[in-house]
Amino acid sequence: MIELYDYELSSDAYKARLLLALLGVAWTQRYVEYYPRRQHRAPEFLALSPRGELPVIVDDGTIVDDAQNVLVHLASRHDPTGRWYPQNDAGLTSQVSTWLAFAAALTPTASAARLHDGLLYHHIDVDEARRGAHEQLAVLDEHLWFNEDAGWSWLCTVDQPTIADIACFPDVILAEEGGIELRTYPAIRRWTDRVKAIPGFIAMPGIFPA
Amino acid sequence: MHGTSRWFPVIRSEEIVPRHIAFVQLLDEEIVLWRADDGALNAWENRCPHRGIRLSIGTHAGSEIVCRYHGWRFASGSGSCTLIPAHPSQVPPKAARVRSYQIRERYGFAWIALGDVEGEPSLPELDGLPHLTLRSMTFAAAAADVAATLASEPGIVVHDPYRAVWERMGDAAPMLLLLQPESSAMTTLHAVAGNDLTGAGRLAFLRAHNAWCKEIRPRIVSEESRSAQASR
Ligand SMILES: N[C@@H](CCC(=O)N[C@@H](CS)C(=O)NCC(=O)O)C(=O)O
Ligand code: FES
Repeated sequence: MIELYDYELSSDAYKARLLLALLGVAWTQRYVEYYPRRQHRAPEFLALSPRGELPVIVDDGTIVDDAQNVLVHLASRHDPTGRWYPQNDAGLTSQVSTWLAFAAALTPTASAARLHDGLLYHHIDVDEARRGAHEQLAVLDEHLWFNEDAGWSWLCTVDQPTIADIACFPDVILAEEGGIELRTYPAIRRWTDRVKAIPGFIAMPGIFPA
Repeated sequence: MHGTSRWFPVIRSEEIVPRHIAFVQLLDEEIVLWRADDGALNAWENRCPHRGIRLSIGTHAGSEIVCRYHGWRFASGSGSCTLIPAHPSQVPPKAARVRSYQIRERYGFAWIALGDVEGEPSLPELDGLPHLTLRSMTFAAAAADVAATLASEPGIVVHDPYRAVWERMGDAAPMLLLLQPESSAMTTLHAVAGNDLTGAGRLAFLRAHNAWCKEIRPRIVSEESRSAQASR
């Protein structure tokens, strides 16, 4: 039994919902009102995960936190095909790790700009957040362009999407809600189309389905 | 802004992939490019004639674009509305038609002209040669500022405000550098070389050009700071 501590508008919680949908795994929602009540910093939630961030899953009694780590856990435990988190090829596993770290680094940039614009987090330095996001998106677009040129559709050099794609997709596509236009990143726009076309894909508010 | 009576490359042809709505900007006009399933290429104003919503967030349905808001459908070729879902039996009004732009595909790029234009897109330096298109790169600068930086690079000759030739030494073929003015503050640099490299040689060439684009980025400065520099 999987319980997901979830908030609809959280891009990190959406990573977990998206992978659960793609894996076809059943789960139960434990709703945490991130905004405006900030329940993720309430004592009951901090008792579960002292980091005070969404998402958290409780899987048969095991508590797992950190959005990227939740993806690693779900794919390791609930994907019998092993394709979402390939672990029998060290080079590939390392590529996945790199892009999981890249996804985490979008939190203070693209994700922060969105919280500033959408949820009125006005203490955020939005110009600095957007500047950082553009630097990262330039790296991502270049990577995806050369991958496409070599015949690869995804972040890693494998012919199927991995949790690396699931981890990066939400904050990249939602960046536009933070005033960061994706128009000048054409390889990113093609990749987001491909992610949306993965069988079983689900959207969230702010993301249009294919 | 001038420039409406000429052809500008806006994207590499092969980047307009099946069932994708590509999104570019030329002289402040937002434009979507999409290839119908029969291969016909469309270049449309990024604006739904119903309520003005961007078509770049719409969906590509094969031979039509479907607007995200109320589902009006617009046909490849004419841009005419074929269906208004709220009134499916009504013939859509003639005015419900997306504005389209003139488009050509040559030298590996899609070219757009916003206004009246004479002739076809032409790169005489590459005629008779193969062509290898390279990764395009966008700079947060006016076309004139990018052109000034290109002019300061050894081997590059700027022919007009939007076009430069890089004469490559020895047996290397020339490379054309083409500027797409997105706005007065943003410019995309396209490049096509007259070679037919393959395999590792081609990849090394693509990588080297990409690295060069990133290297010149910090050297692109505004006209004001250029003239300040010159008067010092
Ligand atoms: N309330 C709507 C506007 C209403 C509207 O435009 N409706 C669509 C159908 S959902 C339509 O096509 N109406 C018929 C018409 O304008 O002829 C909105 O702004 O979201
Ligand atoms: S705005 Fe496009 S159909 Fe209404």
